[in-house]
Amino acid sequence: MAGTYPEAWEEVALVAITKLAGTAYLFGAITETVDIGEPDYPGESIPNLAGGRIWKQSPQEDGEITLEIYPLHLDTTASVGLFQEFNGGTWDTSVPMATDTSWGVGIERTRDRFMVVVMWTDDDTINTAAEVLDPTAATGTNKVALRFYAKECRITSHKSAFTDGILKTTVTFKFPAMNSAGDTKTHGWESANDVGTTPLSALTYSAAL
Amino acid sequence: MAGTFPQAWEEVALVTISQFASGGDLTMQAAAMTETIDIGEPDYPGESVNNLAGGRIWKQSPQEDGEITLEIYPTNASSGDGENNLGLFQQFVGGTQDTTEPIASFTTGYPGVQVSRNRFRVAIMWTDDAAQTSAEAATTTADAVALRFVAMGCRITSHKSAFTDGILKTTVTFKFPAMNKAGAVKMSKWESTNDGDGAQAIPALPDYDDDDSWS
Repeated sequence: MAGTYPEAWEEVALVAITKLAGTAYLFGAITETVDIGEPDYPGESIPNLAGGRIWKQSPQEDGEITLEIYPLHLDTTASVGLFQEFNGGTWDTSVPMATDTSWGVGIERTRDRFMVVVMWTDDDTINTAAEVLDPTAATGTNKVALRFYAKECRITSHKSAFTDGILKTTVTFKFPAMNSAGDTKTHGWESANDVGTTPLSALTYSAAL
Repeated sequence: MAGTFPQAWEEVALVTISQFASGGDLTMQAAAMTETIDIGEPDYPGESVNNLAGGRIWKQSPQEDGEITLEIYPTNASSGDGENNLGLFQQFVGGTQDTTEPIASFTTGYPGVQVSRNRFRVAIMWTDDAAQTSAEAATTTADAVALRFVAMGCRITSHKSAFTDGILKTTVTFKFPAMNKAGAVKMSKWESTNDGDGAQAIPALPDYDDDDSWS
């Protein structure tokens, strides 16, 4: 039997971020807002001499996911900030922690890539990052879910503000619409009306697209 | 044993600004004149390029410049070492800084001569350690927690004052490059500790006498 979707998805969501070939962590507890800017499908019409219009489509643009978070410190295993994830380089694991400031002169600095997953569900048996990526073990009955994911995300912006009496950082993930080969979309939406019986597919990010 | 981070960093922070000088530095505490802080770390721009397979090739661009913006309530133009929370008037204007009352910002120009602008290191620290009085100093207390952002090579690119709300407020923007000229050193960094003494302490920042070195 299928579950019943709520009137709207409200208040809470599960947010899981995975570095390419890395471990998924939940960031919902430091996140206030999520903006999902799926890649636009741009196009415009060209007036022809008959007075008609010829539609000219342009390549799908890049997408962006923006999170407003309240970060605390640099530990990349604690889900309390994205400082080192943005900075790149070698991640520090010993307290005190510092972002990497040593860089190879003239060496290409390929940026880290991430998979960002945002899930709305009423299934309270899903409560770990691994379960957000792979809800096949969910045991809720008649529970529903909606999930968005984007792979190949680069963190292009990490802006911190201490203007409202609380440290808040706005983090932007930018992702291409397609992989290089042109055969795989980097992102997608999924939903299930009975998560325990017909779970969403398992998401992995062990290899680049 | 480690301390416990708060639910969020709120209300207060330590703000320490050092002016680069090859023979030492001029350091001021700025938290008491500051209301807001915006830290704009350098963006990592990039965009996808469409190929004829219909795919996308990611093209990353050089990391951009960063900016730190403070809203401050300045009171006078004095700017000597240890003169805290007064303002950033002379620091922005540049040239020779006046230390004799009455204070005036520098007005002499040198036609045709390159005048390099002052550089600063800006440090901002959030901590629950009551012993901490400077964002540049090392943390010293067991079980205290702290988060620090530091940027060096900052030029004050904008200094706008407003007396529109019945109080003199100045918005000051420090702009810094993402990397040093050699490409070997990042010019900003974040640090944190969950136990602010001993080997786990956030270290003190040295005198700002080398404009692109953390040591």
